[in-house]
This record gives sequence, structure tokens and C-alpha cells, in this order.
Amino acid sequence: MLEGRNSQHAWPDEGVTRVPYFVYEDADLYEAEQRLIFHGPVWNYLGLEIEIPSAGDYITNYIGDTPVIVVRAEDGSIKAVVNRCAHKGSMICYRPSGQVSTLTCPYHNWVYDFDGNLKSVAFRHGVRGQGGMPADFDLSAHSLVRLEVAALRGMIFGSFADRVMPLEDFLGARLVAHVERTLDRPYRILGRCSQMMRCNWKLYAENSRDTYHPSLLHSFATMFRLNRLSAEGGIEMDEAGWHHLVFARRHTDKTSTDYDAATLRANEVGYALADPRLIEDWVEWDDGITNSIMTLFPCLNLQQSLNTVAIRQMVPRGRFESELFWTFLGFAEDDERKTRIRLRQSNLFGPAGFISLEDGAIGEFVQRAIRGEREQTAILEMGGREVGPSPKTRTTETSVRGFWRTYRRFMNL
Amino acid sequence: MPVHAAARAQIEELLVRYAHAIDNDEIENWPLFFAEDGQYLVTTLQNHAKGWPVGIMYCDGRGMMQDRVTALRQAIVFEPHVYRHIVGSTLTARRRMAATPPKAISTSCAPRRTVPSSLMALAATSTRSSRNRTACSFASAPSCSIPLASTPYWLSRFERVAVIEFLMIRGAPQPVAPFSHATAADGWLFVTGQMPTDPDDHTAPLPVGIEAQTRRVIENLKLVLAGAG
Repeated sequence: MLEGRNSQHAWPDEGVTRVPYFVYEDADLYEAEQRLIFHGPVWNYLGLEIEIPSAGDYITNYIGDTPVIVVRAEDGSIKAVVNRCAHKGSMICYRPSGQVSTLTCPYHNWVYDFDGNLKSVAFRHGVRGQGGMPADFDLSAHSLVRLEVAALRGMIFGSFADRVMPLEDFLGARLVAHVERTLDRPYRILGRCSQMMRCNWKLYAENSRDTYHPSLLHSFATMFRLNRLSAEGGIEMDEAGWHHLVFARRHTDKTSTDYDAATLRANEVGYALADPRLIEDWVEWDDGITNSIMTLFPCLNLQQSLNTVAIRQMVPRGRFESELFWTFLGFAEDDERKTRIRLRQSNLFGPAGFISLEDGAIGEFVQRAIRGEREQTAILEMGGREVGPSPKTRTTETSVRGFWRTYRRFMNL
Repeated sequence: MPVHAAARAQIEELLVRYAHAIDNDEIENWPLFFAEDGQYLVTTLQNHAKGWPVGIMYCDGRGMMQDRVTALRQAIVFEPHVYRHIVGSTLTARRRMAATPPKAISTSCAPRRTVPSSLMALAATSTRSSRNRTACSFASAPSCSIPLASTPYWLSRFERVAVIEFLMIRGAPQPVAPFSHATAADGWLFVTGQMPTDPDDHTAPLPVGIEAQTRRVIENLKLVLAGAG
């Protein structure tokens, strides 16, 4: 329950077709999101199994504001604990990744195993019989906070909730199938980077579910018919409507529409590439899908655009800032030519991507414009007022409405 | 073996001109600082350390750089901003090249002779926001075959840089005062006047008579010219 729920946090009567701007600014809501969403009954992305191949390999990540260690145990299983010593609260692993035999706090040398059990405390019995912990000090009462861990196709997820549903049920059969379809071969990391966005994390969560904006905001995509709404495509969802998947088949885009009427800013540009190798591609999956973006509640994307495969994880950094982490993937079977094609295409995405840099800017444009506004709302009526799959068209905001319906349920708003 | 002062000066000049083109909003000229098949890579420290190829930007050839400029000018929506680079001193070091030199931007600028192929300049400048944890670096591996006549864009477009080399020639006569035997600048060699001094022993008596002395002066000038290449 959201404490202090009152008229200050009242959702407009129109429901999910309206989003009050205060949700992007409010300090109480931000604090409640940490408890009710990030520490709630959801699965949060933590990293990839290939990043920690051997026992003792660890990576660090964040779930909401909470720092987490993900480590490969001696028996090959994966463990996740909060990166915070039970003694004085120091971070235990202060490097992004590494190899360790125990989890040892740098502050007072408290030592934990990979399950988070406290194994030893420095000077527990004092020095030369002086000092030391009280005789009844119980190591077993001071463990690290443990997370539930599950994995799908090497993607590791963690949850703080004791009674979280199984990962496959959380994702739903349709999205599980899509993860298995996209990561259908052994893969490897081609690169990683992050970008700070001066916007609330939910503005990006909406942006990545907004299937209506790409061909309008992203002139680059429209010009080269990478992602026009006139291409065959649609939206699928899990049954609960928490997550969604938008897909398109670029090569079906032959129809004439408003795009050719030159009324759209995106169409006025009209330049040709000096080096068309940028968008050289091959149809890599049998289903012919050239663009698919899967968004999981609360804030993870698995993206396949042409031959670019990327995982995007959004980490809130306070109410007004967020950090977006990109992980670009290739496949183990790739030859030099395929890697080169993926490398060139990567210019479309990431912090400086021809397409995605605009998403980095637009969140801040909204955040600045709504500053202090307690009355006004955003409008989400494109494609109707409902939430549901949209098999034939992407000209809809159904997925964005789906996000807010889910958010309100978690937040009791 | 240290890098020649002239080469170092030219590399630093390149970097300053490069930064100025960006700071002065002349980004159409930016691709011209690179060789036709040059590569421009912006990546992160982590990618660099792990050997992961995908970074923030990857331009394979000048065409992809031109496309960056076109997109920036005409297509993309972004927060307007300007740049002001502060260019610090640059480490310029010789490095033995692999059998196949990596493709990279060319800093070859050799008014007088070609730059040795073993020369590699590495320059690092930080990007606007350090919070992006982005390292921006470009490696330059000058090709060894840029001829005298091929003045690179960044030198031809601006006022020429006077890179002056003062030359002392082994085997030429000891100067009678603290003069250089010759001075090289911008493809020209300026030779200091010579006396009819014996190159092996400057205290020896001068040859007798105007003819012998003239012959000695001409021979000394030849020594200087040969020594200067």
C-alpha cells in the first residue's frame, strides 16, 4: 500500500488514458516504487550467465536503488545478494566485475560465502584476549540479504519477493518464446555502454513501449524504411498485459501512406547515405521479423533491430535521472563479415545512435516541461482506450496504457 | 629513439586544428581530417579493456563520417550544444608497427620528407560528460608513402605552420660562430654561408688564392646539402 495516499496522488477519472505529470516528480511515489515495484513481486534483470563463466566470477548491478552482487558459486549455480555488508553497510564489491573466493567487506573484513552466510568476523575473539565480539555473537544472524534467482537463455533475473511467481509465468508463454527465438544460438557480448538520462525512469519505460513515435521522431528510421508504420507489424502481450512485444517486417513496407505526402518532418529530410553499408543487413530469423522490441515490466528491453541484438536495462538514479545500460550481443558462430555488419549497424543504437539518441533527448524535453505541474496530464488515446494485443497495427498506445495499468496495480494508485 | 621535434609539432598541430574545426562548428570539415579509409571509434574504457568491438560510435571510412555530419545537421532531434576543447600536451611515441598497419586516420604531413611508418601518435581527449564514462581516442598510423606534394587538408586549408628544423651536418666544417649549417622549413632548405675552412680541421691554414678558396667553399656547401638529404 502506498502510505499517505490522498488527493495529492489521485489518478484522473479517465484511467489509463491519462497520466498525471506528478508521477514523474513525486518523492513519495519514488520511494514507494522502490518497495512496491523493484523490491516487489517482479523479476529484475541482473546480467548474463556468460559474464560469470567460472566459480567466483561476479558482476554487480542495481535493482532500483539497491546494489546487487551476482556471483557464480562452486557448484555452478548463480547466487545474488545485496551488495551491502551486514555490519556497517559498506559496499562489498566495489568493482563492476571480478573474481573472488569469498565476499569480503573491505571495511572490517567481515567474510561471507556466496550464499551470503557470514563465515568470519575479524578480531571476533579480540587481540591477546582483549576486545572482541560478545561471546553470544551469532554469525548466522547476520547474513547478506539474498535474492531469488532465475535464468532464461542465459539472462539472469533476481527478485526480492519471497513469493514471486516462476520467471516463465511472470514473462508469459509468448514472451518466453520470443526470448528463446532471439537468443536462439550461443551468443557473446560485442560491447557495453551506459548513458545518463535526465529524466524519470518511467519516461523511458513509456518511450520504449510507445510504438507510435518511432517513425515520427526518428527521421532516420523513416527515411530508410527501417521502421515505418506501413510495414507489416503488430503488438503482442502476455496475458496480464505487464510486458509487450512489438514487431515489424521491414521488407513488407510497400504501401503508400501519409509518409509519402511529405507532411511529416521525418520525411522532409530526404538525404541519402554516403555509405549505405551502415544499414546493410540480412534476414537472420526465419520469421522474417526485422525489428522486435520486447519490454518487460518494470524496465528491461530485449531488442532485435536488423542484425543488432541489444539488452537495455534502465536503472533509476533518483527522481530526475536514470542510467540506461546497453549490452550489444553477437553470436558465437558469427564470421568476420557478420560481426562487421553488426558493428556498422550499432551506429543506429546506443547513446549516440542515429535512432536512439533521440530517445535520450526526448525524456529530458518532457521532464523539463512538466516541472512542478500538479494538475495537467498526458493523453494516451491513440488506438483506443483499452489495453490489449494489437496484431495488425503499431499505430497505437496500447502498450503504454498497459504499462500504466500495471504500474497502478503495483502502486495501488 | 625520440620522435623528431618536427613530427611532434605537426601531430600537435593536427590535434589543435581538429579540435578547432569542431569547436568552430565546421563539422563538415571533420571527416577531411581522416584518410579515405580511416576509422573513427568512440568507445568505453571497459570495451577497450575487454576487447569488445561495439562502442558508442563506429565509422568505417570517411563516408560514414560524412553521414554522421549529415544526420546531425539535417535529421536528428537533440539538445543544441556547442563544444570547447582544451587540448593538453600529447604523448607522441614511436611504436613498432605490426606487419599490417591498422587502418586509422592519417596524420601524414611531411613537407620535406615522408614520416617514418613507425610513428604512431595516440591522443586522448575526454568527452563532454565524464559521467558517460566514455573515452574518446583516435589512433593515427601515418602511412609511409605520402609524397611531398600531397599536403593534407588540415594544412592546406589554414595558414601554413612553419615547422623549422635547424640542421647540423656531420662532416661539414665547424662554424665560426653558433650558426646552423642549414635550416629546413616547409619544403625549403636554407643553407648558411660557408667559409673555405678545412672540414676536417678548422684551424688549418686556408687554401691559397681565390680559385682554391672558391672551390673549397663550393665543396663545403656540397657537404651540407648532402648531409641535409
